[in-house]
Amino acid sequence: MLNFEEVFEKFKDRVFRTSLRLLGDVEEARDVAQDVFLSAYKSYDKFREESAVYSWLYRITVNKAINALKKRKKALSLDEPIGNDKEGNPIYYEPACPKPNPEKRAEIEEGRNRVRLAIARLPKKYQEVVVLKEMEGISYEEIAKILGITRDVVGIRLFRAREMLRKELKNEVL
Amino acid sequence: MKCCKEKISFYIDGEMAQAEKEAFIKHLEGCGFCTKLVEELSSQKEMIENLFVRLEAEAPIELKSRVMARIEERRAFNWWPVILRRIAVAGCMAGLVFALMMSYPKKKEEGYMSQIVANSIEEREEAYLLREQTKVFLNRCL
Repeated sequence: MLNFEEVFEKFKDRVFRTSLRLLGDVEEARDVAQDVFLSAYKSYDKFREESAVYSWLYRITVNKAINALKKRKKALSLDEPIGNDKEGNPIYYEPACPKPNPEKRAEIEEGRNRVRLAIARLPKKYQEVVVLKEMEGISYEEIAKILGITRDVVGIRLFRAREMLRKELKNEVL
Repeated sequence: MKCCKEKISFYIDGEMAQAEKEAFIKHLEGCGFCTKLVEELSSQKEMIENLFVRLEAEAPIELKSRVMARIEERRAFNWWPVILRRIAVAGCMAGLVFALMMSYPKKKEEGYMSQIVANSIEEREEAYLLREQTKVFLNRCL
């Protein structure tokens, strides 16, 4: 079993990245990541194996990030950098287009916010599978281990979550 | 239909065994509803992946120092005043409850139940008399 600092080093990027994908804001994502690790520290003696820590970290990150998203009142600024590359240079949230123009960036950011808010409106058990699969690209088997459910349940929940998302996103457009 | 619908996620995520996949594809050939749903959910999945999955970001360098600083604050915090205050509050509450219980008048057990029964009989007799008197009064009026 790793000590707390080793766990931090191993999972810090994943926790931060998941928060950032859900929130789209560096400061908020950093605050959530900080809360997650502080909570992990408080509960650390209860964990018996590394896989338990990993599952717990993912679940708590999704929960805290979505709670932060629901509480958020201000709109996101498109001009703020949302991360740093390995050299420490700021990067902007533009995965689909290498150098989009401002209108395209606005469209992308609007799309992201619609999806984030739609996910925040799902029941908790569906939020978890959607974030882990759609945003993190994790396999069914891995998701099953993280959430403590079977692979079949992962697939069924994902189907229902996607159906609900589809309706939410359609309502947003209308 | 329900059992086929719920296989859609397995299919679009490539999580189906080969034999099952072939059977599902055959099903799709004859089912317009599932085919349409597969198209819509596949394109939604692709949209979300394009928006989110390609972002690779590393945790800010200062995250570790912030977390460690908060942990140190927590370790250095003197918990004794908080604990003592809580014990004091709990003690006061317990004392208050005890005092209330002691001041509540005690009923003598001896004859208590018979007193209750007697009161009940007396009340019924009074109610009976009242009804009879009311009948007499009404008869006189009418």
